[in-house]
Amino acid sequence: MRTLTKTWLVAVAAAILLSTPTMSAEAGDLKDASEIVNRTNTAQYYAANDGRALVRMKIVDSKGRSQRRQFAVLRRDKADGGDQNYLVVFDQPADVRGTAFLVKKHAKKDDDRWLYMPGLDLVKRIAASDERTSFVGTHFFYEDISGRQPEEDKHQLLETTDTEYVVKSTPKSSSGVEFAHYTLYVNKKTFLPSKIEYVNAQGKVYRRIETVKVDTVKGHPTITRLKVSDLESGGYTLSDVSNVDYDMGIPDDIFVEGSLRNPPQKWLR
Amino acid sequence: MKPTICTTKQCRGGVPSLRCLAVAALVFVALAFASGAFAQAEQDAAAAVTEEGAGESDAGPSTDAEGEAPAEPRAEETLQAEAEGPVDAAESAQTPEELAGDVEPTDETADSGDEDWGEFDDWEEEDGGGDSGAKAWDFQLGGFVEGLIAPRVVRSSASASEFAAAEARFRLNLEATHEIASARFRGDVYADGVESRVWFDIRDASIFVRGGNWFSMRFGRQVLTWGTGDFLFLNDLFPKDFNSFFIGRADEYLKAPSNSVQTTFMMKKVGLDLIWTPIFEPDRFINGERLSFFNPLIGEIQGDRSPFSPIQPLFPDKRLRNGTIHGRLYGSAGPVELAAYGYAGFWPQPIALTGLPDPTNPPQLTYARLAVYGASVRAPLGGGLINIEGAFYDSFDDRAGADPTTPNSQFRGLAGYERELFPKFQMGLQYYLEYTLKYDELKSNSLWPAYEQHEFRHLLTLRLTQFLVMDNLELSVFTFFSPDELDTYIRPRITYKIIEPLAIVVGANLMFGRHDYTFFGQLKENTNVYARLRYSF
Repeated sequence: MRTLTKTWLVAVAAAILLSTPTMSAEAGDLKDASEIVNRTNTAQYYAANDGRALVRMKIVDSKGRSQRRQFAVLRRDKADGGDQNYLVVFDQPADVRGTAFLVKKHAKKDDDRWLYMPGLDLVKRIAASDERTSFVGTHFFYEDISGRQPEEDKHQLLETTDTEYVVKSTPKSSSGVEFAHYTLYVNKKTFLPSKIEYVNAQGKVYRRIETVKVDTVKGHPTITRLKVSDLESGGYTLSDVSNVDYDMGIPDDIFVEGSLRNPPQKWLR
Repeated sequence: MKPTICTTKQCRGGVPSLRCLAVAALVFVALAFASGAFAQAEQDAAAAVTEEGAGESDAGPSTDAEGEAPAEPRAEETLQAEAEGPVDAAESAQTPEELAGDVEPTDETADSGDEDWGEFDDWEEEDGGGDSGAKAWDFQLGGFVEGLIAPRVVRSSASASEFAAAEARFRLNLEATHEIASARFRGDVYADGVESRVWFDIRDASIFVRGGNWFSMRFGRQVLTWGTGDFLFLNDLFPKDFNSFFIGRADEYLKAPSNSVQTTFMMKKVGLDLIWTPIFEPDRFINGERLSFFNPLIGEIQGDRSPFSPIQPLFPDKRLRNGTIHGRLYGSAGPVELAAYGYAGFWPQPIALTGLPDPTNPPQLTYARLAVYGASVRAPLGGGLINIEGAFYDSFDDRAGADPTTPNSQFRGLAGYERELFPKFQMGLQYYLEYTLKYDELKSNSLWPAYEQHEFRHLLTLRLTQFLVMDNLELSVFTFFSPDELDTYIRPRITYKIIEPLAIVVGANLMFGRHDYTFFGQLKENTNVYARLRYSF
């Protein structure tokens, strides 16, 4: 009897302690960090079943020199949180105009990627590469563009404010990642991240991605302006997304080699 | 051979090398000036923003980057900038807070946002591109100006020019795109200091039409490529330009255009390409004019000093039955890509003779008929990619292999593997084999048995590529090595994007070989280093 009471007391204490950070939050707040991250992943990378966007990026290096990238993206999902197909067609800079990527993103294995070089009329298949290296010379990583698998990290809910969840994500394996952990600030309504801060082994924030603007398109909240900063070099990249559309009925059969050579204008424009 | 070749050669004495230098120097000065002006204009813009008290640098250059006539306007801007006053270094434009990395993010966004983000609105208007979905036709204009200089670094007794290349090139790209059709033009004009003339080279002038999801067609002049090899082509019998490959021109010039009709049929996950080139378009082969090669007819390396240069082969009659047909059937099973290929036409290089040597009627080099059947597989393996390709070259006019004027049939095989070893560091390995059929018959009937390639010719290639400085600097080396012919071709290259529209490439084409008559060994006197500066617009 005595033991039982003690156990009960411990349980109550634990419940109170654990619930403290969420005391101020409304009822209906999520408490499972993994679920929050999964919903963020879906909101950010899997809105609707298919989509189109025109992306413009401005890269500014530590010396203030700037470069541009402009490309159109078509996406079609096989399943939310699962496999996806992407077609990316470059328009700027001038020397890569007409270059195109076809990506078959797989949730459980390496993506299949192809690159089209218009001068040679060459469709080159690309070997799997480090996901945490620069995406076409910007401060974004490939993983920022196509999404990091939620299962790759352990997630811990640090705080729930009136508007945001704050989640600390620590990689299960430190191989292939340059961060010790990252902190995700997620909007409670849209489940889009408002800010992601990457922390190195010394405990210092060295890289930050901020959402600058969110627009709602066909009922889907969409990040239309993002800024990624390399806080060590001082360089940053701004990304502006326009011409967004969803559920256009983009067929699966445009995600083929022929679309690299001759992009499907019907869906891109 | 026709004796008239000599007269055209007379105009090239020692003078061209001076002319080469003059052309190259002009191009470099122009490009250097343009780049300097551009950098200056950008700094000026950055400084202007700083003066206004804005947080971060640089609202100006992006508007510059849209310019259609690059060099001159920028030069003017520079002059104005200099006249108006001191130009601050762009480095000062970065806020100290940002560098420290612990600034309040909201403030930073608000500070930097106004200047930087506003620019995207201008950008939209300038481009006019994606946002207006209702537009029927979309027009694009682009191109580049480029200077290339490639001095020879090995003493050559065969070639008179001290340069493998010295040229100034202007490229114009035009494209008009509609939902179901598009028209494209890509053309070069270049002043060539080595051959002392101006060339016009239309690389693409074609029209594309789409018929639903299952059919499309491109007709006109176009560059075509397929197959799985890296700088090795087995089932790709489309014309190549080997002169360009060995003198430091951009990789794209390895492929030459042809006037063709390409039709593509798509059925679910299977595609069929059929390409018809009504008039046979051979390789732009090494003919002695620019680069020297080993001529087995005379038994020595032949360059532009030779009265036999340039080699002028006999072309097949321009009749429809002498056109070429290329086919490819392709599909995938999961991540594994499979393809089958077919070709009916001619050997792409003039390695046949019109007749046996005879003092009264000298033979001429020509193109023998050829059919090729092949297949390829490409799949991911161990974090990298593996590719295997095979092709049977059916030289059907000499299946017995005993006719010395016609090349023998061959089997060609390729196995390759590539993967990323470290972040941004890629490695590619290939093994390539040429097996010549009926080799005994070939040897016993050959006009030059000592110079024939081995029954099995083996070739290994290694590509290493490293990207640095946010992908703005690329270090790469591609090496061919034949363990049986004991010859090597090494292509080291450094590409640096100095500032957005301007890139410099420095590299070398190093050919070595124990013998003069092997594939790369014959080119050893053409060894050169090169520098190429390109301004894209």
